[in-house]
Amino acid sequence: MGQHESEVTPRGLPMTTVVEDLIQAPPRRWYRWVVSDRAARYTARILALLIWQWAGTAFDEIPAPLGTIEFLVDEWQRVEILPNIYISLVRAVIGLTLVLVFGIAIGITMANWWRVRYLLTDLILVGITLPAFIWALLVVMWWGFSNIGPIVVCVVSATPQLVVNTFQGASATPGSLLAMSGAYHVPNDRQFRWLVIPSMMEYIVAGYRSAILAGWGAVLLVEWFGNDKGVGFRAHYWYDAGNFEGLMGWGLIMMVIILFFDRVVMDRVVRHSRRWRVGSAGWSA
Amino acid sequence: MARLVARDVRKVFPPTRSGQEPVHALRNITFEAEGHTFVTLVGPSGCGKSTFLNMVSGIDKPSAGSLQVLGRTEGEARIGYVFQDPRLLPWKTVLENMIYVQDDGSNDVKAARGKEFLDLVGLGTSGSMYPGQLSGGMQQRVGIARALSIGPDLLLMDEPFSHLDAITARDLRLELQRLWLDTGATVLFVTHDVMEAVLLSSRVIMISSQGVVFRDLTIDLPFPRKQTDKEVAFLQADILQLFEEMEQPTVVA
Repeated sequence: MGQHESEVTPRGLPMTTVVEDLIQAPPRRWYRWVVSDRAARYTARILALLIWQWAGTAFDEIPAPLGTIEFLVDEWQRVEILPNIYISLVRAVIGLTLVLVFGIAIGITMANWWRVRYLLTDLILVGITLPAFIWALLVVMWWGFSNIGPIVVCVVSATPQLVVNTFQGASATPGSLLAMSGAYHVPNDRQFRWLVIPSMMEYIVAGYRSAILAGWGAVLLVEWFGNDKGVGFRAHYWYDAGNFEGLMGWGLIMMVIILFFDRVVMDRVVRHSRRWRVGSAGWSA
Repeated sequence: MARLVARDVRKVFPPTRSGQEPVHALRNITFEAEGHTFVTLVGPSGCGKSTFLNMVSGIDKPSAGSLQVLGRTEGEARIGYVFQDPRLLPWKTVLENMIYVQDDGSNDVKAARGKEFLDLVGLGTSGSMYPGQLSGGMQQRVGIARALSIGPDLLLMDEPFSHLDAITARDLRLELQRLWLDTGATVLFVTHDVMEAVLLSSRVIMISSQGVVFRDLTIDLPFPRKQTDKEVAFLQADILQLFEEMEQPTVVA
């Protein structure tokens, strides 16, 4: 870097040599890919597939990947896959939309009014800890084979997950920014949209991610126990028929749907909500 | 320009638990200020300067006395507030922060106004950046631009340069002096730095640690002033002398 060869470091090394040693060649493209997070994810999935294949070969009770794929092809030809996925997704979307509205509203209310907080704290705790299958059995008794049961259980199972996080988020709204807004007489609706909700966004996203997992599982559980349509119902159908490829196949569909939503939708939402954090734009949760 | 009238303003903070005494933050603040004037409240830490500013802005209320802030048309004054820390919304861009506090006009009009004041403080090209991408000094300049963008009758400034390094603070003081001379607002400035008070102000009000007005001094040095001016140094020494007198045990509320 422009240093004369005659210049040496205190240890007697030629300066040019030291400087050149410091300037390393950039790592090769293939190496960068190998140590990337994407490679780690693909590696995990391939490993899971290999373990599954080994288990399927080693144990009769565990269906192998090939048999499961063959089953799914048959199920596709029976025109069962898309209609049942559609039904389950509609129930989940309706339920989780209600979860988002209730979860944010209740969390903010609890943070701002202590009476509401003390009124609901125990209920929220019960909601989180009570197993979803209890709700599933109850709604089947109350509403039978309808769409209401899965939606209701989705809401009661998932809302407490979101409330806990939104309550924390609303309590953590920076007081200094609220004081600034008050000093400038910023209207309440603008404060809510520009200050309160964005300050809670990371809590909402984290809570909603947990709520989606809980809500999707609740919908499948109700369909398993007491419904005649949906992904959960088809899994139960093949379980009753003793067809483990069927059970595994529909289980695979459940996993693919939730992974797709988490990676394709929620990851983008997380990145967008964190875009203002300089230097962390490439994070995924 | 605004008219600020404070008459026997007091502030007492009640005890937060049993056995505690109430805290008398301010015991008697009486003064008036109006027109194109730069008034600085200077005093030791804890004497109630920031508390008084919060009461003027409406964030807090006096426990006793009367505090009136009137605007140019004798109605409610528009007040801009520059805090010790910039208090920008970190998840909104700099320009969106400017829009956040404005009331008049469409978003386009507010954006244009915000850009105008960002240009005034030398940050016209930073509108699309997030506060986290700016240095502390730049963020504070945005805070000043934000306060000016609402066209304030009264500009409140609570030790706005105390968290900055000496060089940035010096540059911002000179910039503030220029902006005040250009815009003609009434400014109520709080600091514990006597040099800063002498450099910027047309009037210095000394607050004692008991929360009362000790002296109300007119600073009639010509503008613009520099930190290196001899007259500034002499006045600073005089005021520091007065502070020593103020802290004598005979000074009571």
